[in-house]
Amino acid sequence: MNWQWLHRFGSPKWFYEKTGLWVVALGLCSITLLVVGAVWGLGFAPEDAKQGNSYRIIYIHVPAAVISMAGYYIMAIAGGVGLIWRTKLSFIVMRAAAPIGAWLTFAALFTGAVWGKPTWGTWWVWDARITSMLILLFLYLGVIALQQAFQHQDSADKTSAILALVGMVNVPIIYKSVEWWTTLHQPASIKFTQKSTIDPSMLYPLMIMFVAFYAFYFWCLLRSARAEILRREQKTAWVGEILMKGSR
Amino acid sequence: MNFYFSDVSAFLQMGKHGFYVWLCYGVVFFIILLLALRPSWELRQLKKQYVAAQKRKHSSPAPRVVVEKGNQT
Repeated sequence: MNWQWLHRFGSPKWFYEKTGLWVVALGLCSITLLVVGAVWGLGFAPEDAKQGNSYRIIYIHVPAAVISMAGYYIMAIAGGVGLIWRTKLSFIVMRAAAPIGAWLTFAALFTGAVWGKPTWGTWWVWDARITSMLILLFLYLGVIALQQAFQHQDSADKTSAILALVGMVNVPIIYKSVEWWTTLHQPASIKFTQKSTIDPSMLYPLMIMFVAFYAFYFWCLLRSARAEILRREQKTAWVGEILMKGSR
Repeated sequence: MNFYFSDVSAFLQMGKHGFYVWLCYGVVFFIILLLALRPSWELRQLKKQYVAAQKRKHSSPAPRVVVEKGNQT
């Protein structure tokens, strides 16, 4: 099999040149959808019969939580690809994904805690879903810490990739925790195989927020990865030209 | 589709859940803003460092300070 495409895709220069337009498109798309989704969810969707208006937190809580888990897979798989094929770009993506994932995990935990107060009567319980999400946050923080703990970028990349891969086992645990254990956290309302237990008037803004958060995630990931490319490749001529632009 | 609340104060109060809802949206949109600005900060920092390093390289070489091990008195 011809692996040339993989190495070309793994080339930072090729990636940097190809993603310039994507950044603009994803940025416009995510900002527009975030505003539309938030206004719709906050002001136009109806109230929940049982939870009242506190349920409106769902429009940021669920997308943040889902993307913090999907983002972990992206980070770990990028690390794994880097370990196997030694493509420069994969470690760059892994490093860029860690802080974004950590902040979104924090956002999911924070909104969950605030939502828990009026709904469950408590900010925090040590149940399976919440504890495994907290572990996800620590895994992200571990990858960030390992990235900064080594003098040589190569050692930092390899070690944090291994941590990211090992930590991947936590993601299905988070996902299934509400089925495997008795928890305060409710099971999913949106199902792929059966009819969802959420009304369309509430589902549409949630779908918009999902797309908005995904677009936002990839927008941030691309821009962080591009900045990281420039940092790591600053000894090359093409990066030098970009960095000196406007200062001559 | 109509605005769900009767007026702006009802919208801000959200029944008795206004505090929780607005706190969540405030914090999350603050995080979103932070994440959106972070790559630009990093890039600006990198450019500044790079340009400074280039200027140092091209200007007259600074006298090198050599500290030999074991010779400090």
